[in-house]
Amino acid sequence: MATATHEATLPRGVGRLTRGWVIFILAMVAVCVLGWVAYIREFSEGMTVTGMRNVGTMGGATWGLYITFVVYFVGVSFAGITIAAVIRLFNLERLRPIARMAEVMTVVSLILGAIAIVADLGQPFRGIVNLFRYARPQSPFFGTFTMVIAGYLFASLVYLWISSRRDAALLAKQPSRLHWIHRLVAAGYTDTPAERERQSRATFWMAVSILPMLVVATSTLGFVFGLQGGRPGWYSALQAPAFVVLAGLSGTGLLIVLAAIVRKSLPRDVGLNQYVFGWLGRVMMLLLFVYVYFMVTEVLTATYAGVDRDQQVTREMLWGEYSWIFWSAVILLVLPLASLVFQALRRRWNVSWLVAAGIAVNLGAIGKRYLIAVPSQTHGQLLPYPEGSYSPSWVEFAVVASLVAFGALVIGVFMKVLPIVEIEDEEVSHA
Amino acid sequence: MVKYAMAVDLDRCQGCRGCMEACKIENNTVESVFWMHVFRLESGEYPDTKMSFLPRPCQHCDNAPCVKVCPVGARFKREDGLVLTDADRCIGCRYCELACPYGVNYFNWAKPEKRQYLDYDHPDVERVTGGVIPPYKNPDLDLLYGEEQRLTAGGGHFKGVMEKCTFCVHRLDKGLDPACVDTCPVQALIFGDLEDPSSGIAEMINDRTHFRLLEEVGTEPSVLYFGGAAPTEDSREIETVKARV
Amino acid sequence: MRKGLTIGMIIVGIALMVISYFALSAPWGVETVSNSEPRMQFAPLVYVLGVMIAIGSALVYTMLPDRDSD
Repeated sequence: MATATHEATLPRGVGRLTRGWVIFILAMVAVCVLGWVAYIREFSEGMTVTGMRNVGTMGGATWGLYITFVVYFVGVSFAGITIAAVIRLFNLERLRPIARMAEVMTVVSLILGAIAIVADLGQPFRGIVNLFRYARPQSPFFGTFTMVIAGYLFASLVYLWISSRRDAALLAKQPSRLHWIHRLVAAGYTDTPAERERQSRATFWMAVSILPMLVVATSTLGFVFGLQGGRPGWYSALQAPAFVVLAGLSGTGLLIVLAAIVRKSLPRDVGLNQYVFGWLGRVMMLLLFVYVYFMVTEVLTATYAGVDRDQQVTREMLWGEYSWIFWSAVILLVLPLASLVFQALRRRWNVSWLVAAGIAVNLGAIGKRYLIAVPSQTHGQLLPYPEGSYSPSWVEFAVVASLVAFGALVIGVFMKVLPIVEIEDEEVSHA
Repeated sequence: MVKYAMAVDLDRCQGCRGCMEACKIENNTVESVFWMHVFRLESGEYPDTKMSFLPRPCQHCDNAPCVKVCPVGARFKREDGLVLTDADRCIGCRYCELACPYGVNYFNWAKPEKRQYLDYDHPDVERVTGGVIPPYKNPDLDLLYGEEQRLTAGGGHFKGVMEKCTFCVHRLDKGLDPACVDTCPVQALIFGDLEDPSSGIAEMINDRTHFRLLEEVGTEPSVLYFGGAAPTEDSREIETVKARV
Repeated sequence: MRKGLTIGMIIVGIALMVISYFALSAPWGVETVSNSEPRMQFAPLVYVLGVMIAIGSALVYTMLPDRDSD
């Protein structure tokens, strides 16, 4: 094809559609379609097609897999932009290669979180309108909806755009099928010192103001659970901080996986080296130490003393119906910690081990999010209701899988449209 | 200013659950939805077990956690003390259900016609039931109530919204008592205005001590329990309510 | 002009956020019907627009051409 020779010269694999990539995209699309089928069923029949049921006399859980993933996605997004902002604020030049994929990870996972919330509403269209029309600040949802979805997502998009303009302008200098996108994103960027100074200042101040907004936004999610005095197992001052830490942890883990995939798929060395992976590994290790400390504190406090109802929830989690999830999550968090400590002491970081740790930590985080949401609904009721149970239905699994697939799809497409790793100055002449 | 409250005389309640039936018929609630629920509890170890009954309507709390958390103001408290749900505004997020320590909220998981106790379209139904079809549908439930004119009597039970005991707001509008109160064969349920010193409930407060459920959570409920005792940690249901659909 | 617009947008954005949160949205409290009604409908939309305007100032700062220097 005539255009192939032009696109082969775009850096970072932009525009180069390999067979593996196409198969991957088609697979993701197929999963998304499955999710759509499932959601249409839910929308027309009602949420009875899920495994959720009323709390109390009906013995079910009314928030299940969807809310678990809302919290998980928003949590993952926290780490991305935070790492990008830290790289910017402290000029950590050697970590530049992961900055853009961190920003992309944040934007994509926030979108997934927003979609997951809407999927969980009994009246989704009405929900979108009524939230903008009537939302009450006293409800913890106000913060989630306005600061997290609107503020934080918009800020991350703006940050991503501003920091991508230069690379887009560089790519726009070459003719290609994607020329129009590159021109659009570049939005008139000229690589003068004055422009570079402006961009640098804008990203600096955005990074400064985004960080506190993020902590507030992620904490409001913790408050959604932590402020409910009537639900043993939820009512705790530790919810908000634990949310933030687990968010950073799962996001860092996912970023490691993403960086490893990018490293594999790009032909030349783009700086995703020992230093970068070592830094990410150390961050994840520190966060794991803090999170394990939180978990130990919570379990010790809950088992040492506590109202009977709180203890019921804890018992169910430690040796009852939810114990398999709890102990799997513990293993999925502690084993990576051991591997990371080992690698840190040796000062040699193995990418495959890090990827395994990243995946394990994310699975553990999903398990923990599930454990935050569900056991306090089926057990520990303050009035003598019977114990309940909850297991997600195929509809919930399909919708959640399609969200993950959609995220992977968007990132995969992004990688072919704009450089996933920033372009260095020396490469300009090469292109 | 009127301030409604309900008194439950646990010394009189015999656990017949007639109030649950009356509530269902009056409010046309669907399968496994119990706006009024009566716990049948036992405590202690055989042969020293004790039985007790605990009617549990919505407590219409003064410091209602469900009102605090509703993101769109569909759940609100009226000046006369009732905590109501605006079915037109509810977005079905179910946060109120989780904030409530008493478990009185019900979400409509499916279309109401699929959750009735009987398939009213079945050809044999008319013959077997002697023509009492279509199922009694209380027309008052679809109207707007109060100064605020909102759809709060729960009519429709349409899928995707929350509902709960309304203290029969549509009956109060006509000067009647809630259906459960009206039906109770032993007058274990009393309803009235706390601000009116001549009401039955004000007299009960004067004569006897009362307690409220889950006082320690700070919800300030409007349902007062006389006689009997609050459920303890040892209390458990005699049989599990089979209420999962 | 560019700097002025940027600072202006930040101030306007934050002002909209503060005004819509404290004066236009539903008041805190659980006592009366008015706690469930915003004082102005779509006040949360104003809040979100305020957030977006404040953040959008960064776009203006980087992209608006300077009449004097360029």
